[in-house]
Amino acid sequence: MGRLKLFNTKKALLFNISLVLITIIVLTTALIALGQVIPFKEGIGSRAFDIVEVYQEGENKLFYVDQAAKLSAQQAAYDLAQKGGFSNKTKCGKKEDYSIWLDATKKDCYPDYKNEFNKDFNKIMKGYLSSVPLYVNYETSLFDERIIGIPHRATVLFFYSGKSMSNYTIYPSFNVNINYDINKYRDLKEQSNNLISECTNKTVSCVNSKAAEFNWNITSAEQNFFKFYYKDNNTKVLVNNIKNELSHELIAYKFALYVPLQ
Amino acid sequence: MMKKKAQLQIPGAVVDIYAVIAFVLVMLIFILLFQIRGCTTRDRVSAEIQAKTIDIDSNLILLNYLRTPVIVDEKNIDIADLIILTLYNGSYETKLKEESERTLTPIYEEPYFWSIIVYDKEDDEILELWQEQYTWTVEYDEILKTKLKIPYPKVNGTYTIELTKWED
Repeated sequence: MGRLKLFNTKKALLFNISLVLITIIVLTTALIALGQVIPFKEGIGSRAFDIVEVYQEGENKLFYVDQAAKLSAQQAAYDLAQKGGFSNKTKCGKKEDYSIWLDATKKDCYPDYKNEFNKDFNKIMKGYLSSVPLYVNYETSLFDERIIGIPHRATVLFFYSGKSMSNYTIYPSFNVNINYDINKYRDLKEQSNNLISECTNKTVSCVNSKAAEFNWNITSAEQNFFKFYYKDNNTKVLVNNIKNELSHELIAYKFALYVPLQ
Repeated sequence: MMKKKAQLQIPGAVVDIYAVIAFVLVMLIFILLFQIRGCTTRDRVSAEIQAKTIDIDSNLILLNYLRTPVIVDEKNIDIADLIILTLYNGSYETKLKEESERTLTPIYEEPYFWSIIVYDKEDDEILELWQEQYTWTVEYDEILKTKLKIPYPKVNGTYTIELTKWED
C-alpha cells in the first residue's frame, strides 16, 4: 500500500517523464558521438593487411631473385665456358679467342673457375635485379648442380602503416637447381695434365688420340699450340646468344694448350 | 477527502502508462537506429577485408603456380621455366597448357575460371592461356587480376605474368 502511494506522488510522475526525456537526450548524444567516432578511417585490420601486403611483396621479390639466379647462373656458365673459364683477363693470354691453360713455359694458367664464375654471375645478376629494383652482390657456391647465393646485405622494404612509415627486411638469398656442374673445369684440368704428360716429345697423333679419348675437338694447331673445345652433351641451358635472342645451347669449353711435341 | 484522493490517482496512472509507452518506444527507435548504423559499418568492413583477402590469395595462387615443379625433357624445372621455354619454342605450349590446367583448374571451381597472359617489357601480349572449356562466345565478368614480374633471359629482361579470375 505504501509502495503504491510512492508511485503516485507528484515526484514520481515527474521522475517518469524526466526519465524518458533524459533517455532520449543520452541516446541521441550517444548516436551522434558514435557517428563521429566510428568511421574506421583505416578499416579494421588495415595495419595487419599492410604487413601481409609487404610480406607478399617480399615473397614476390624473393621469387624474382630465385628465377634471376637460375637464369644468371646458366648464362654465366655458358659465357664462362666460351671464355675458357676466365671472366675478363686470362692468366697467360689467348690464342685468338681461346684462353691458354698451359703455355710454353709450362706455367699453370688454369682458371680459378669458382671465383671467375662468381664475377660473371654477379655481373649478369645485377642487370636482372636492377629491374625490380634490388641492389645486392652475392657470394655464390655451386655443388650438386645447385647454386646457393648469400647476399652481402639485407634489403629493406618501406611501407606506410597508418600514418607512420614502417619497414620490412628481407634477406634475398637463394638456393636453386641449375642443371649444371661447374666441376667440369676440374676434370678438364686433370685431362689436360694427362695429355701433356702422355704426349710430351711425341707426335701429333698422340694428341689426336688423347683428344678423341676425352671427346675433345681440335679446332686448330699452330706451333705446338692446340686449340680445343669440349661440348658437354649432358648440359643444355637456355641462354642469350650473340644476337640477344633466346636459344637452347650446349655448354662448350674453349681452351688452348701448349704441347711440347718432337 | 476521499474524492480529492481519487482525483489525484487517475491522472497519475495515465501519465505513468504514457511514460512507460514513450520509454519503450524511445528504446525501440534507438535500438533500430543503432542496428542500422552497425549493419552498414559491418558490411563495409567485411567487404574491405574480403577484397584484401582475395587479393592476397590470388597472389599466393600465382606464386605457387609458377613454382609448381614439372618434368620437361627429363629435367625437373618449374612452370616459370616452362613459360620461358614456351616463349622460345612454341612446341612447349601444349605441355604448358596441360600443366596449367592441372594446377589452376581445381582452384577455380565453377562459376569461376582462369586465364594467364604474359606481357613483355613493352607491355605487349606475348602469350595467353585460357581454361579449357571457356571460349569468348559470351561476355564474362572479370573478378580479379594479379600481376607478377619475372626475369626473362635477355639483357636486363623482364616479363609480366597476369593471372585473371573470371566469372561465368
